[in-house]
Amino acid sequence: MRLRVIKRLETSRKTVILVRILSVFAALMTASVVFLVYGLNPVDVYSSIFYNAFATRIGVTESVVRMIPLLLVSSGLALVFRTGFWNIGAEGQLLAGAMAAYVVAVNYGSLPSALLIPILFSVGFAAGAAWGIPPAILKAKLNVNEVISTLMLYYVLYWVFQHLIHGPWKAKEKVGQLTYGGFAHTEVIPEASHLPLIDGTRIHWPTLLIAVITSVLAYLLLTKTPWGFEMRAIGSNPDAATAAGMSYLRTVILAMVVSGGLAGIAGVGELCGVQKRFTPEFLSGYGFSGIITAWLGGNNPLSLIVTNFLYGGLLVGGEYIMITYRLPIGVVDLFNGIILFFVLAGEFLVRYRVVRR
Amino acid sequence: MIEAKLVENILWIGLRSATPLLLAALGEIYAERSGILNLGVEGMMAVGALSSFATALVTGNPWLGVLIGMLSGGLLAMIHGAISIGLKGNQVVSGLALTMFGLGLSSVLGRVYVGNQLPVEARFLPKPVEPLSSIPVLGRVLFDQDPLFYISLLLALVMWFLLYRTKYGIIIRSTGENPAAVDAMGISVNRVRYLSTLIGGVLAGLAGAYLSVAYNPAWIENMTAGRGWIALALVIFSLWDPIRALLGSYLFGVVEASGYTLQAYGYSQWLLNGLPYLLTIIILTLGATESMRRRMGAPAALGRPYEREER
Repeated sequence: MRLRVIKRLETSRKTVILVRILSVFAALMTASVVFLVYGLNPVDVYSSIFYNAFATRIGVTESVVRMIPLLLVSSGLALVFRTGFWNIGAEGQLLAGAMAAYVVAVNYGSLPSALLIPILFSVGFAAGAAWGIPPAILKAKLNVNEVISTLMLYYVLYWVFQHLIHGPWKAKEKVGQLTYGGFAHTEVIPEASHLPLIDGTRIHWPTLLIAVITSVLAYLLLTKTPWGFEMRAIGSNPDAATAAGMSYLRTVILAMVVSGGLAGIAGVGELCGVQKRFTPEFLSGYGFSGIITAWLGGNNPLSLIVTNFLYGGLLVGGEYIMITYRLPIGVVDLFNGIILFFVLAGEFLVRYRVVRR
Repeated sequence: MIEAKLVENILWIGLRSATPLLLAALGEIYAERSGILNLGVEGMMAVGALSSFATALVTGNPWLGVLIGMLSGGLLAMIHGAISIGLKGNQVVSGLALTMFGLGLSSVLGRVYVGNQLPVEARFLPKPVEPLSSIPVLGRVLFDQDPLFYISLLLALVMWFLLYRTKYGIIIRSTGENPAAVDAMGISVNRVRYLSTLIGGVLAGLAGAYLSVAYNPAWIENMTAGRGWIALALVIFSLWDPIRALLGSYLFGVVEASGYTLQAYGYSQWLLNGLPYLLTIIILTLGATESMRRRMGAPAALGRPYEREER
């Protein structure tokens, strides 16, 4: 008996969703080897993750808190990936947005909130977009590999950020009774720049609202407008699309403005809604995890919201077990890698059929 | 005299920090020449660094460490091979997954080693080659290095020769340019690609081993610090040519090392940490410009799974 692989002409939506769910499930099973290495019972660990993420009130609201930046980042990435542009530096664009918001918040903290907060979001969007545009131009003009340039720009900004919080931006005051000698952090941003929260939670609702609305807008932009048509055309066949008169430069810049800008807004939310000041641990990898959720759930806004909520829950439960079982932070990377491998392997079943001949 | 000493130091450190970049870039050149883009260099390097460190620590034998580092790099590359060759999956995403996987794995398994250093006998130490090492300036730079440094130099030459002057090189290059033609000759495209991807992984593992057994003989989480990505940029800068990769990585290493001396003049260490990444973007842009000018782009089939035409 010989097996033969045949390309499927079309795949039903049901099959796609089923295969993805099974892939993630298989990935989590494989990842349980990690827990065995640490002498832990995987069943206990997974039930602990699930319980702490989705079965308690605080778990659910915290999952939403994680979902906000993930949704913003991944809606933008889903769009830019469809343009065939691999923006891997969303983490840097998120940081750019947060840093710009910090500068504005510190200098214009006397403005009323109602005026200041919209300004912060706009500035964050602009800064994220600005940090994302150079790789788009380099790619369009000189064919510079965007995977490397976007990632390198993240590293560059990361070290500028470290320089600032260890030097020019370092807080001069004591926090409460404690002296933070040698510990680098900035001062807390002015009250007026703090985002309002839903009572009894840490959910900064303005960012949540923006995240949900923009996930729909980005989807409509991609699927219902002439610009979106050009993005998809360039994503599937750049040579044919440019031969047909579409501008590669303009399209890729537009896609990166959306992607970088949304990541920038996520940064504003993290600074003004959650952390309120910068520490060396300000970044928690949403820019990288967003790549996974964009790849997993990027087909439409609803699946993006569901995917990011579940992924946010995985992060919340993950943080819990990392603290209880003293696991290193690298566990998240390891999970991300394994999930991606299995989803990629699952894609094969979506695109091909194996038959006997 | 003091200035000569400074130049000597910069060149010596520059070439040492360039060695892992060169090794990883050489391997990736072979993978990409066969049409497989492996963005997982950083992950393979990290696992290579950890496994070779742990082996050298336990056995006290640096060569055994290097061997295990190469094996584990190769093993990781085969995951990428299985997905991108066997399952015709997306190579960009698979490479990213490999980077995350490798960094995560090295962090999780390396936890017990954090803060450990290799005993002196388990390290590769620079040894002067008498009498060449007493040549002023260049003597120390070129002839007071560790064994892996010389191996990397030799590898660049051998790999250049194999790629441009032998039948095997022609087969690898053709597989990346026109896989259908290679297939028509009765050569298995997949086999060539698996083998080249394996070479890439083994050398990335060796690059990692250099970091943790020779360059900085200790285990630090995330000790690859983006070097895998810099190596990927050097591949493009080199126009996929091993000799140009040698020159490119040495240039990079020396410029980076001279940047660090600025710290002595009061420049911010944080900003200087960011310098290599800025330099990478510049190198990448220069490479891309050169590649356009010479009309010598990436291998034509790079990143595209091979599918035989249905008959």
